[in-house]
Amino acid sequence: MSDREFSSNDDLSLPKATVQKIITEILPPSSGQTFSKDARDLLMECCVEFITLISSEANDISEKEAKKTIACEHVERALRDLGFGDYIPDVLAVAEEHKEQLKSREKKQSKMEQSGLSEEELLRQQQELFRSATEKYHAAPE
Amino acid sequence: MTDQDHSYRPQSPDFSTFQSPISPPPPPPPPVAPLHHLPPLYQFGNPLAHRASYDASPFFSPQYQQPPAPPTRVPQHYLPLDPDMARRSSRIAQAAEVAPLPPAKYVDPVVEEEPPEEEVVEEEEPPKPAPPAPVEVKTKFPVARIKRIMQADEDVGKVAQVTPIAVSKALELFMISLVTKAAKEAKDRNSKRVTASHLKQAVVKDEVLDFLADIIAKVPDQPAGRKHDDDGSDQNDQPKRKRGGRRPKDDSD
Repeated sequence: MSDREFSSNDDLSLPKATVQKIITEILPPSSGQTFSKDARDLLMECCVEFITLISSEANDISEKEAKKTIACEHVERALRDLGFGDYIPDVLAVAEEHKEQLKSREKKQSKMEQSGLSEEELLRQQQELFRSATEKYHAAPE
Repeated sequence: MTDQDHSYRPQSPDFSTFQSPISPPPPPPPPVAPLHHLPPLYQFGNPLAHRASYDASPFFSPQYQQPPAPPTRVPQHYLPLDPDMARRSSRIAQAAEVAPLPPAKYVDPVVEEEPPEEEVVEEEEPPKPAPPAPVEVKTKFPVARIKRIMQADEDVGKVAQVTPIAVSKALELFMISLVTKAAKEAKDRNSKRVTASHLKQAVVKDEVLDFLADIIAKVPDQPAGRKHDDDGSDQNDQPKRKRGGRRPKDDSD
């Protein structure tokens, strides 16, 4: 199995260790049940098939809307159409969380907007700082 | 996800009681303070504390005239766990079958009812935060991989940044549902080991999972070589003691 590690086919499956970890989180040792390897491999195949199914359905939906990019709404609709409507609330929550994260990250980057000052005002303050620094520099040696 | 995280993971525990870093350094402790610190130090170094944990063990007959361990702990230890756990897991399984709701629905009772482990006797051990709920999954799939799998289909074009994240979450829920259902199939057949054929049974029963038909077609219906508990070939399995039926002779010293 390990000799196929570098083939492109392996790239398109899920990482085994991650899958195993998640299985163990669902079926902890205290549950008294173990998940066999063949079941895990089958589960991984099913998972890849699930991704393919969802993305293909979402792709169809987005194409019908003449959109070039598959957005979250398309995934949501695909889930509903395919009978996985139960997943939607959690999925939307995660997507929303991610959007919030992006937003706060952008905010942090745009310090200029945060200052609440106009660009001219900021420029003026900067020039003032330069001037005072120059004065200090010239004043110091004497 | 976030809500559940908050429910068992306090965000900033106990910091309110500490002084903020801006405030002036704490005044030197009054001379009485060291005396207050002594009792806990003494308890840690006290050998009696260790002995108490041995006394709680059924395999150890205490030779000291040691007062029995605090009554609050002992009755908790050897509660009959098995019936409760069986009832609980069957309830979980029923809930999963009747209504495949988001797992959050039945996470909470499990967390609360988590019984103390049988072998926990360490008195000095600091209390752990709530143990992780069985159905809540903290491990995340690599989003880049999900995206690559999505785009392996050549029809699939561009994908928004959020989309693989959303799909990843859906996949997580899908996996929880599959594993739970397969585990129930195994349980119904009195198998502690969930095999591929159990997973197949679970898939066949659910028409939503019809799209997996091709994949499961290659799996034999019945476990071919009686792959039940008595199959010890899987290295994940711990060796079963029942098989030998006899105790090792020379280990009794």
